[in-house]
Amino acid sequence: MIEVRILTEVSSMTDLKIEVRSKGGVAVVEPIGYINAHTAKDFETAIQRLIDQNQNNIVINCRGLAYIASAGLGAIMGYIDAIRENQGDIRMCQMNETVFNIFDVLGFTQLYSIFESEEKAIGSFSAASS
Amino acid sequence: MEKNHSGEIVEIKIPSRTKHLHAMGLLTKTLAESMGFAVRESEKAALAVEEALTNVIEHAYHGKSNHKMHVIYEMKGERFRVRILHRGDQSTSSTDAQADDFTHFYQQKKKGGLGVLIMKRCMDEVTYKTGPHQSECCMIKYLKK
Repeated sequence: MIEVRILTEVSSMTDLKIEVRSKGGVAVVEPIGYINAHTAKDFETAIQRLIDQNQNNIVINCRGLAYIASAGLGAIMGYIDAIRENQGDIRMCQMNETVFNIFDVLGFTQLYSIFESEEKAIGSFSAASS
Repeated sequence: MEKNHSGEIVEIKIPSRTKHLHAMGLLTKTLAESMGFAVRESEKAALAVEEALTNVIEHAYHGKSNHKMHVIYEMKGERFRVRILHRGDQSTSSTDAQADDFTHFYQQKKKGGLGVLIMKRCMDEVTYKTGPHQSECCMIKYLKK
């Protein structure tokens, strides 16, 4: 049985809502809306809080993400090294075609692990440690 | 929607506020699609315009929201040209030199300049002009058959 626990919900504006929950010891961040220069701060805050809580195994579930601009990509890029140095990782799942294409334009698809489902993304952490 | 543009211009002036970025992206995507660009290419154009406007807000106007940005879309033949004019500080092109190489950003852990890289990857041409009264970022995307 996987434990699901709602950690935080950051919802300062209608353009982006961010749900953060814990599932099987992995933090799942689910941005709903779009991430650009207008909304990226909330996204950064959500990731930073997890790092502060020493939660370094993070899955970003993109099923509700309409699109992401450089502000959001830069946030991921800015945190990834610190997370990997703590033996963690940011992994993504359930990207729509638009978001995947944006990642692909910059070559992010080669640098980050992207999974088709949240379960597979979460499971990849235990697979890596076993 | 009519797809054969013999020459149309759409102009819009917007305040220098990030809250309008999404709307401008949607407008750009709609105009690109109306020219016959595929959805993926239209989305790239939309992203490039959002990035260019973000750069104006952040670097030319330093986040101040009481300025104007003038966006001109020119759709002629197979050329989709977007001109973004502003009266803020001149855009620095310091990040441009290395903007073609994402590895550089990743290795340097640089977040700044990522937008310029996206613009270059999403559009066929990106140029900057600086005049005595205003600066301009011009981006062109060609409809490839």
